[in-house]
Amino acid sequence: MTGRKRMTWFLVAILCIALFGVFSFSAADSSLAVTSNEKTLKVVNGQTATLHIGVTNDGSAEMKDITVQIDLPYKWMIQSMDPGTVSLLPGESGEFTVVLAVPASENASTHTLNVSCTSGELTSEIINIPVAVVTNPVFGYAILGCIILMIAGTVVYFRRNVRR
Amino acid sequence: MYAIVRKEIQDAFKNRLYLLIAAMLMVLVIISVILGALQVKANVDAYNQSIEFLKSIGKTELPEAPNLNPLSALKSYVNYIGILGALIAIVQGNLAIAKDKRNGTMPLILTRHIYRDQYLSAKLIGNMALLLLLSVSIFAITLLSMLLISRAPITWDDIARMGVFSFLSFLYMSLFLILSLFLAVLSRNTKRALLLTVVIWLVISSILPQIGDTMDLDNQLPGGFFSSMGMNKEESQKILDKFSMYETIRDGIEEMSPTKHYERASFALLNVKPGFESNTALEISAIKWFDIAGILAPGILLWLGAFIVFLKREDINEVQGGY
Repeated sequence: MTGRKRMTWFLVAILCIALFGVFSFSAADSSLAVTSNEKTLKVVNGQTATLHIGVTNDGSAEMKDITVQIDLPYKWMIQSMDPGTVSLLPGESGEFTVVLAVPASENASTHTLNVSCTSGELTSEIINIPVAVVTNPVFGYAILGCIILMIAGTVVYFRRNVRR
Repeated sequence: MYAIVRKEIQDAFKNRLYLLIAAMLMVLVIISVILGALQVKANVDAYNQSIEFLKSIGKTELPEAPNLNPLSALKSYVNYIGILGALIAIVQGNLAIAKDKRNGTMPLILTRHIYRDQYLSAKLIGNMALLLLLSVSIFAITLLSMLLISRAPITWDDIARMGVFSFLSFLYMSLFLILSLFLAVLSRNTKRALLLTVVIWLVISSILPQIGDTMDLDNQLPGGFFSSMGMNKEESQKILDKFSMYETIRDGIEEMSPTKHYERASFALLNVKPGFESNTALEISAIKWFDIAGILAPGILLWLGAFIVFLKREDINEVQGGY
């Protein structure tokens, strides 16, 4: 084998290794795709919110025990997750239904939920779901009711006792 | 009615106590805003210097400007309004009734063609006009200080946020004005009414939020109870779940404080609380409607209460001693 041929084989080998590396890295990075049906989420404090997380196996091997990871704000809880884990064959998709419990003490505010899926060592890309926490409108109706009641009471009082 | 409104404004400018507290508030706000603006300016200068240095050594990839948040200069303003702003409103509200009782002019005014509710409304409008004047003056001084001193880029949305925040401060001070007027009308003795108003102010602006903070499970140890016990997030969540009733009571106590509502809405408007950077002033007002209602609703209820109490008062002919 001449020096030139040897050099060519050497370059081809390096190229193959590099391609394999790129291929295997990209497979690890994007073979587990995560999506959410909810692009933004509106949650009432003290109540629960449901999140539908879709996961797809874009790889060439079966993936087992896929779970959802959600970075939650302080005092928030995952009330339930159905199913707890899924196993997907190549090309298959699954969906998690996650019920989040928002504490009543949470004020009206905005947060971002960072959601990802994991299967063993493999982790999907993180998707961000903006969440707006709103105050329960029942409180608004209660406040409005109190004011209307007080106005009515004042009017009646002024009618009974002549305005002077 | 207009004459009473005008007289209230004129009297305030002759009252040394009012002028003293107003001057103190103005000086404190100006100092805090200037200090805040200087801090923002220092951050702007540090960024500009680092950019110039990077350019001088031939770097083309320059770092993005950090979030300078010029509105953070107003953070101390919230505390000053919470204390001195409320006090000035309490003094104004009490004086509005006390001076007429002291001088014996209340029965005289009420012999004219004016209803009792109109008399109270005129007192309220006159004093609210003074508070509005104070809020507008502070807004103008703040805006000028920010523009001239900090040199940080200020957008129209920042100005809108400052405007809404100033209006919120005005509403907050008005609440204490109404509380003070209500108690001055309710009580036979205006000095006692003033004392009672100050006690209520202390309870709702200091004690209730303090109880809310102290009762927080995680605030029981410095650095956080859960982290001190070596618990991770999941474990602490499980414990908090067992204390949901306790949390509801704690939260309920906090919600009773208009000062807490004012603080929450203000911190969201001033970007002190993260998460509202991309919202406009109107959007924040819509998100924080409950906190705004928490300031507005007690004021309306107290005001209607003052009408009811004053309508049947028969002791308005009694003359009281002054302060």
